[in-house]
Amino acid sequence: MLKGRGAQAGPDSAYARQLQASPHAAMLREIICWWRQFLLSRDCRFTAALLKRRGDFAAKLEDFVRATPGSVLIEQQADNFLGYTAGDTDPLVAAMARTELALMRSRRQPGYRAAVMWQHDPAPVFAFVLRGLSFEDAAIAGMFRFVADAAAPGGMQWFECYPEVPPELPAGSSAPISENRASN
Amino acid sequence: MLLATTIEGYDAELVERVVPLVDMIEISPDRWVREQDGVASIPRSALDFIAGLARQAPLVVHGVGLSIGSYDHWSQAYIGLLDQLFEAVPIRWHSEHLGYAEVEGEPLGTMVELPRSREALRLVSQRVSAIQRRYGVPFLLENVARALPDDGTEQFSPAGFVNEIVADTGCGLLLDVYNLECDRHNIGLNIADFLDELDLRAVREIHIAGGTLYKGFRLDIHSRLVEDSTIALAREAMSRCPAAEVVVFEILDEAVAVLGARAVAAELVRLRGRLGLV
Repeated sequence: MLKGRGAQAGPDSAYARQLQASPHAAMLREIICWWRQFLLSRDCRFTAALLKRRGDFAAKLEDFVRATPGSVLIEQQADNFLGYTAGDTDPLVAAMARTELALMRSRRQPGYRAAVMWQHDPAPVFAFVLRGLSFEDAAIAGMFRFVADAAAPGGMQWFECYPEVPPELPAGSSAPISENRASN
Repeated sequence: MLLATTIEGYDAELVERVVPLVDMIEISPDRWVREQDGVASIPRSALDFIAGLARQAPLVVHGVGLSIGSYDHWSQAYIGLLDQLFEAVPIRWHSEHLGYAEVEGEPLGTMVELPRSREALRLVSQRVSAIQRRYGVPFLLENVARALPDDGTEQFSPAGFVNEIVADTGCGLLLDVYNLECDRHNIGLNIADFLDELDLRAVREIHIAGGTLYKGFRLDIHSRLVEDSTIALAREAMSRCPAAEVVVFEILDEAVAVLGARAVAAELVRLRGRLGLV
């Protein structure tokens, strides 16, 4: 009930049904989300910023609280949220969540290295979060490979990818790619 | 009567400013926990930091994560944190909220009060006794800010329930006077009746804090300076609790970041004066 799963759980008493609709339970649900929002805004800064830009960070959190068991461990909570958001239908948000998750893991685990494919240039996206510079999704479309790697300068690097395939092949196919470093 | 405050993170400026102003420091194990190899633990760096605090003032521990009232278990992870702390630093006593924060192993993300039933009473009393045996120092239970209205089947009054646990186990109490104000505002608690009934001889520690009003609710959020009404209630509690040793000003480290360490220090000076702790 406190996590908004009341409809599925089916409250089994008049008191539970009354409680479910009460302002007290609503406030508790809001507090639960508020704390998550506070912590995840801090610990998943980049993904949270993109969700806020899209205007549905709060709604995403409510979904997350409903759908996942949660954790008292800060790292685990951030991991869970980023893992959940990595499945977002918006490719930019999903790529950022995967990227942030990879960066967190590379900071925690010596030798950890992971790559994430982007359908947008990461540079303007990071500039948006770090410096508040705006961007249009369509204007930064492209194919980029982001690598979280503790051994790289700054722990990360990314490359623009040029498919060596006929233009009619869709992005994401198994065609080989060559890489050209775009920036880091 | 002593004055204390909470230290919840590696904030060198806060430590520098507030530790000289207090007689005791309260820490929460939950605020220092990190994941190491999938297990919750307090990192060596945090234990060293806490040991540094312990060299400057006596420490008491106040937990959030034990979930002493969960019907199926308490948090073994939290017990692990307590084990670490008790091994690392001298601790005068420790305390936990009389409530639960987990159901079937799932964290709720908030604290909920217990049903005041004989069944809950037996469960909590057994756990209090076990934890007292484990650590051998006093253990206190704190009244939580109640979020949900009663269902009418309670077998004890709010104070009567606490008194029964004290009688069963000999544990101490941590009286949070701001939580009483939250309860008065949110669920209509009669504070005078509660205090008249509560076994005030068991109160060893008093909590004082500032929160906020939001959508008609008074929130127990430790984000603000202390209001006059809370100070007055703390003074009343101090005068009526013969075994109370310390008043702790609770402040979240997130709130310290907003208010500033200087403001927290000034609040401690003000509280010491207003509470007559000079």
